[in-house]
Amino acid sequence: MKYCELIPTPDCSGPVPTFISFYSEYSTPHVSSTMPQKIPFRCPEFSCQKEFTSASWQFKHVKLHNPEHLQVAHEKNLTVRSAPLIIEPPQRWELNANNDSVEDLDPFPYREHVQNIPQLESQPAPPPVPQTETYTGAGAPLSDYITEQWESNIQGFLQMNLQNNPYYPFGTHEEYKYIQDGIKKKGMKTYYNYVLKEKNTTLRFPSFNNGDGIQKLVASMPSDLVPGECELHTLDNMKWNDNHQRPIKYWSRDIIKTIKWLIRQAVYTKRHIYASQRCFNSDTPLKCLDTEMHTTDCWWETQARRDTSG
Amino acid sequence: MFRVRDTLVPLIFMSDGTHLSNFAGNKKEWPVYMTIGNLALKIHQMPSRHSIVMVALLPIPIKNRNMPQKRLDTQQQTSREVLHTVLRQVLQPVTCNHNPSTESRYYNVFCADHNFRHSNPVLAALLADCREYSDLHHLE
Repeated sequence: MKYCELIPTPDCSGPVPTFISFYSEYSTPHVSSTMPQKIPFRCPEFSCQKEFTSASWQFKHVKLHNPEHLQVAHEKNLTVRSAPLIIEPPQRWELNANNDSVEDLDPFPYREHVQNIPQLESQPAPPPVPQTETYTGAGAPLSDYITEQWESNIQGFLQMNLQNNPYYPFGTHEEYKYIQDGIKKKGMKTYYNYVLKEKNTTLRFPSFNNGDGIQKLVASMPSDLVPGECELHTLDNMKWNDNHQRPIKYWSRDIIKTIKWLIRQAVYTKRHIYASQRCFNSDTPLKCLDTEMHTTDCWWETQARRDTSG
Repeated sequence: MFRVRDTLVPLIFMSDGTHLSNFAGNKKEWPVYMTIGNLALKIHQMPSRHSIVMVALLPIPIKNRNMPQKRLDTQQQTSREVLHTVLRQVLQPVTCNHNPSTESRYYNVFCADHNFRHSNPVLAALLADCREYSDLHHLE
């Protein structure tokens, strides 16, 4: 037996098949009475021709990516063409037990689709407005505090420099702005190439005329204004094992100096938080928002617990 | 002792071992970084703001290759003791036992708005991977 004899030949004795025309945007799509179908839409832009499954997505696409269509439509007092949303009411028919299947009896998908239409077209609710509550008393400045000598020196040093030059330690506003822009927008590589190497720039930076750079500016500041340097420590009483008799060493930096340095930084002035807060949204019951660390419950509870115990 | 009107300074520590190179004897570093919770989240996420400072470089434990199990357990215990000792010394200013101020745990800090405040540093979080957590908590 040959292989071709195993393949059954098609029966072409039936009626002539009818060809269903391809859907175009000028024709009305077929909507089933029992089950909603995803209707393809196309972008009116000739070069785009992107297909969408709903009219709302098509309208968003035109509004975002082709706003000129909206402008032209408004100028000509026309409406943006979109495929009509046709919803056929469920037809009343009787079940023929011989021809119809039992699945056709389920009308719920179509009813749910009709019920969800007004919800989709309604505008989204505005975002909830958080209500902020600040812990009273915490983070208050010390008005009656008598500074020590080294503290008053630092304070006087900072105030004197900031009064004389608000862009301290930089010389001019151009330097300050250029460095900020260089760090923010162009990255550290551009910052080093164009700011520290003054020969590459056409701007005049008097602070860098002597080839000092920022490192020398920072070094000229008092020692307490810079973070503590890393120091090498040795664990005298410990060793790894008998085969490794070398002393165990590690580098560390003073935490308190680092904390003071971080709190003192002028670039964080608008972003410093000294008291815990509680943020609630407008839901009922109120829901606490923990977007930042100072809005968490642990900070508030720690502050309250220590205030009562102290 | 915590006084009214004091400012809480939550400390956030981060540590993770970093593999540096394979060709120079498998160099590794184990940095510990620190930042404070008084800064906004937006500042923490910007590397150009330098709000995260390296405070320590922990010692790297020696390799445990071709060791019997008993000696391996002893070596692992020693490594944990070294880690605890180093972290205890690094965090000594924050703990209750040691205090540079006179019988109190607050520090007078000159803030960015040109005011002095009593600040009280508190260890708030330590971000590490599973292996470091198991070493810190003596988990097997």
